[in-house]
Amino acid sequence: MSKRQANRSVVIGTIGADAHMIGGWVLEKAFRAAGFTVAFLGAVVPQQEFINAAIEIDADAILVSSMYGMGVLDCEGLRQKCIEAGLDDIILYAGGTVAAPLEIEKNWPEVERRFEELGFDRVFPNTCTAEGAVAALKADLGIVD
Amino acid sequence: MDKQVKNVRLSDDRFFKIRREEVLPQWETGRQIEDLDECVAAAKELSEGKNYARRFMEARDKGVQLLTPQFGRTLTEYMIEGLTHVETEGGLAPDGMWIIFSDSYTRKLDFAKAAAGIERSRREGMSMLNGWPIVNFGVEEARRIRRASQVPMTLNSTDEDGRLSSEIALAAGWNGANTRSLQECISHCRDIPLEEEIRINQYESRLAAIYTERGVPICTHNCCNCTGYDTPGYRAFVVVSQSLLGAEQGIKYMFLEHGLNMSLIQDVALIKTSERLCREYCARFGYGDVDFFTGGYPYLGAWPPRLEEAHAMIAWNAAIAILAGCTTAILKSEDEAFATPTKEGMAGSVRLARHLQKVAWGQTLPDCEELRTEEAMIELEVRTLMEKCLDAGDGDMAVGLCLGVEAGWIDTMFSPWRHNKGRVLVMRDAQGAVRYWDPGDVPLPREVKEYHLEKLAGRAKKEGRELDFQMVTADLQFASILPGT
Repeated sequence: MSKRQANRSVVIGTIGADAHMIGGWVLEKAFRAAGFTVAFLGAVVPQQEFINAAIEIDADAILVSSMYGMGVLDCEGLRQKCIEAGLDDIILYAGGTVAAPLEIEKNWPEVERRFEELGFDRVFPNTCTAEGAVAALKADLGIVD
Repeated sequence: MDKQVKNVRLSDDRFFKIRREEVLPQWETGRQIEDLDECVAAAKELSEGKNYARRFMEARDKGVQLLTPQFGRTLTEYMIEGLTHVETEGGLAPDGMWIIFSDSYTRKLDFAKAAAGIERSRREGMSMLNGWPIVNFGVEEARRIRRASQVPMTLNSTDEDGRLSSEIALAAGWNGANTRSLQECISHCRDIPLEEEIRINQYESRLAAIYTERGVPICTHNCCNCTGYDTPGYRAFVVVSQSLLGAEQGIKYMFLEHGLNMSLIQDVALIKTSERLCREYCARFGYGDVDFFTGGYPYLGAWPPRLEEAHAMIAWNAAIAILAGCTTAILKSEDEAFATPTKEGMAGSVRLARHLQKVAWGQTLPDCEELRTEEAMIELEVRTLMEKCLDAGDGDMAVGLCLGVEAGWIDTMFSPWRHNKGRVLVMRDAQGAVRYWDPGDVPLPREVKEYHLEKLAGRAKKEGRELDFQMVTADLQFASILPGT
């Protein structure tokens, strides 16, 4: 993956038919406080809206929140759409309660395997903090403050 | 401002036109329920002895508190297995009832995606959707589930348009529908105007009333579940305003489903005040024959990811409903932080809450000064908003609600709904009660505003620091963060 010049910008939203917006709301505050430009899309966000916003602000990363348990289904195809839109090297994170069946959610390596397969760079459980997400993205972008 | 929607009962002509042209064609299974007479007759037979509204009345007469677990898995066989397990292993029957939830694709009317989820669940051998896709499966499958359960059943199809889902559920002898408008916009919607949401829900309320008029009593859920970060005054207002919209369509039984903030005295005050004001406002507008039942809905904010803490949450939420003297306590499960509820998790919640009822010995929170003060503050806030709505809408609640949201004097802190201004800031006081830090454009009476600020000053003093925005965000995870993390 070619390294792009990081410009501290992220797109944040809750994907699919999911109306939970508090995770994204907290992330927005944390990323702004860390000096990032944030496009916060709220909840019930279709894949294409994430991509449109990423193009608009030339985002380094798309941070997808999913709380209602169908994140695995909702995130399928997002990487492909990014590539089609010319966002080959954009970083993709997912976080929240991403899988409906307990069989998967309780088996975290399986969640990671599935999201890696979907082309995501990282996936976070719902116990992660906003500060943790900021630190992870800064590390992935090679930003040292 | 001229509003198309009015709080007026749908005529039969209008109702059946909408049914034929708008609701049943939403998906192919709509065809199975074209004959409403057959639907009502089947519902009557299937829910005989298991009628939801009647069970509420019996329970109240006998002084029994019911329990309402919730369940929803992708495939019908998982559903039947799960319900049977909780009813027998968990001891739900006979003093219990079900809320069955549909998946979120169904709630957004994306039945093609729900179909893909069904296929995927069969392929993977597990439930990949977060509920049971009632519309895709249709009325006969819903009737199969009805026959397999021993207790009353209702569907939670909560979202902007649950009409087809509720049509199928009612035709299958599940006896709950929804009285909702602002609640859904605030909780689940993004773009729909309130006016359109009210129009959609007038239909659903009318549908429930038609079943009731034809001999199958339907009890609708009038909810204020919101996000878990709303003041009790706002929550009570949502419920009281919706009671007028539902009653106008002919609903006779309403279940007031109160999302709990987990602050005992304030929550009990919310439950008592809402019911009292629903009765009062309905009587004032000529709907004196509507009966109300109450229930606590467990906290809708973030839950802790460990069993012991999750059990504490289940118990505390159930205890609040029990101490408030609610007709039923709705239950969440230990799986809440991770996934959709499992049958084992729900059976455990039922056992836990049953034992709680047993050791509580029928006690309820006695009347006390603190409770009276909270009730008075909630009542003042609700009355102010109700009267402002009625005034703005020239006596029409539907019109007043729309105008209030547009102007921003009906407002709450969090919502995915773009029409909500979100200028309000709330935080918890030193006892965990939810207070307005900044009421935005909500016309709080001076007394209420001062009371909330005084309570928050108590928190600042206790913590030895000024109130700040960080407290608002910290409150969001107050119940979910484990010690040492």
